[in-house]
Amino acid sequence: MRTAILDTTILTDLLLKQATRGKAVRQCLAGFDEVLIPGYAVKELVAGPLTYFTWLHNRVAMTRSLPEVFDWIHRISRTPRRYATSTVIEALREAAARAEEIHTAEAVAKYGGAASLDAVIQDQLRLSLRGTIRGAWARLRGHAGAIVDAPSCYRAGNLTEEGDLLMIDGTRCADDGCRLWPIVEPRASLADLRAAVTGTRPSQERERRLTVLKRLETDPEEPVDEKECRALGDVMIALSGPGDAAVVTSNERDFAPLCRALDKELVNPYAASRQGAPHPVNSPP
Amino acid sequence: MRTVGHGSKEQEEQIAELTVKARAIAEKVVRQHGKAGGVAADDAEDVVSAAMLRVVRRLQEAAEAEEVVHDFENYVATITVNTLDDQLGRRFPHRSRLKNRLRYVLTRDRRVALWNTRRGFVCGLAEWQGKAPADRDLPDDLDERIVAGDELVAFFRRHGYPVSFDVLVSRAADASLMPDPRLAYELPLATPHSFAESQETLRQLWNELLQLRPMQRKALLFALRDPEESHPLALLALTGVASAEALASALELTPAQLYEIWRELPLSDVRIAEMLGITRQQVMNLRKSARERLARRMYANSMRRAARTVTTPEPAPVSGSPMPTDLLRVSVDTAAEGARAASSDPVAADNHAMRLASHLGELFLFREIGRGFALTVNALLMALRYRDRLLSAGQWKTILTVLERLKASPRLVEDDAVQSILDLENADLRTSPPELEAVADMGRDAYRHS
Repeated sequence: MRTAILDTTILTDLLLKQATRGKAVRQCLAGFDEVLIPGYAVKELVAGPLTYFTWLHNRVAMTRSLPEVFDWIHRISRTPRRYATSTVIEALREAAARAEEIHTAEAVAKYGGAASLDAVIQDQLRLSLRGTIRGAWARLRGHAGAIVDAPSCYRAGNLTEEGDLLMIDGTRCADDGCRLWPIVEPRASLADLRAAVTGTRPSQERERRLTVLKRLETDPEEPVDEKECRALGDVMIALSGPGDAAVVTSNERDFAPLCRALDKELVNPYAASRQGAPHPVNSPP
Repeated sequence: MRTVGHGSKEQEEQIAELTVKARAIAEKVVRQHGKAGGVAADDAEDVVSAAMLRVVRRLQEAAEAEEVVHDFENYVATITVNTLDDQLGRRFPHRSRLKNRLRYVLTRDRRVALWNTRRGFVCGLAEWQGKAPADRDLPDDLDERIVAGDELVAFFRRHGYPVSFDVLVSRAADASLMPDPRLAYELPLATPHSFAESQETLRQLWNELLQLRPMQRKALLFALRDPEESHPLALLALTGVASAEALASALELTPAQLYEIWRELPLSDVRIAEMLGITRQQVMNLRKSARERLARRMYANSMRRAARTVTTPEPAPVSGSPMPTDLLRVSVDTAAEGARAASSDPVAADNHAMRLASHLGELFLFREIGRGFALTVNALLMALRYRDRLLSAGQWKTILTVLERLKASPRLVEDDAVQSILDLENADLRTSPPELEAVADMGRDAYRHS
């Protein structure tokens, strides 16, 4: 039986990018008998992308002017990839332009305030965001049975409403310290993991990861704190799921050494869509 | 190790001393095992008292026979655990049966194991033997189906850690006997007050079952069971809610086929997976989503029935705003025409698409009707706006279905609107501006780099 385990980016693409990258992911996953989702990836999805979606939804709901929303997006953007910020702003401008296309003076005359262009643009944007968030949440809930190896700090979060706002919890570690041993210990030695991480591309992220792994080797009883948990990132994803599961990820450079150390197959769904065939990256010839 | 002298004041004092010690041990054991097993305070005291009776009797027998009681603490602990099991077995025969079956699987199936630790018996995958149970709540995706080897292995693999045996038994027993109160409407555990009420509830449940997607319905109905060991489908037939033909049709079987498998019901997930041509995991996921949808729908129905004045959490419609009945009807008609033309005349169909987009733009101005209405219309509008090719016949069919649903129930709840959004997305239609996907990238990067 072929089993797939998804990394956070693939999970994000599947749930929040239905129309574009999500399609390639679905096509790739159709080739597996079973699809599993690491609890760690769910935690990252909720704390990262879903939190940002709800933030933007709430900003649009609370702010009566699109330029003000643009300003807020610039302020909160911490991504090193600036194109993501400008793409979002472009999306908002585009949404406004499209709404105007079918909006007519007759409609305003007929329907009054609800038909004003600003109100229509804001509400279409807000509802699009809301629909995306609710849809992603519903799909995630629908796959709850496929979630594996949830860290002990993981609590299945809630999406709630407060008036027009959407609130999401499960974005911070619940416990004071997390014990990852039920996931880590039976599956790999820390020394092997450190050696594998050393083989990934140099970056601040890699250095933080190595520091945590070294600390765990010397002081395993001390619980992992939230910063350390975040730093472990790809290591936790690679460790998740059964030993014969294939890790589905677009980040071949960082996952390939980890998968080799754990003797796991790596599959890149976007390589498959480019080449037209399922593309296990490190399976035997 | 104690030696008790026979028939003396010293003997009585020794027994008294040991009894005090034994009581402390028994109370501790009941606290540890009983907490995991969900034993109430009253039951705990009964168990301790019953255990003490056995201990004292044993001590007196030992005194008369001038025997030595070896390893007194372990002896008292064992008696207490046995007494606890007996007590729970009498009070909760179902739990007892479940426990025995789980123990059998854990000691027979080589993939799993049961081992003893200082914190009691622990179970898990065979390779975890010797480890202590993880200190965390058990997830809620288990019920009495866990007694099957495959299900048990899948459960442990999903959750990745050893668990206390008593906790596992209790949770599985509780989950199968005491469902979510919202699921009280799920066959067959609801006990309404009158036959008329129960029939009405069953009829509603049957209607909701028919609204499920066929695969969800089959995953749920083929596996339904209750502790009394009768089958809920029989209840539907006996109460006249659904004929045998209707039951068969709902399961996409002929009556003869249904009759053939009747005696096998409920089916295991492996069997259902074979029948449906999917994986076991997919069967479980389908059943879970079916249960959640049923619970939501039945709960919402019951709330609507019960409420005399409804306080809606959604914004009230703007006073005086009419229901756009004609506009909805015209939109449905336009979508129907588009669907008819899609296969034979795609350009004509695309004309209908543009017309429909215009109707939806106007329908959007009625968004104050309710959030469900607003979300649905917006999603349809986005689907027509953000497309880079002609709509396929399948996509037209989905759009028509969503519109018909909206026309039938314009004040639909948000959950139903979300289902419509998922249906549109499953048909490869965009329900939001695609550039907004960049928000996900912002969020992911911010999390990793913070």
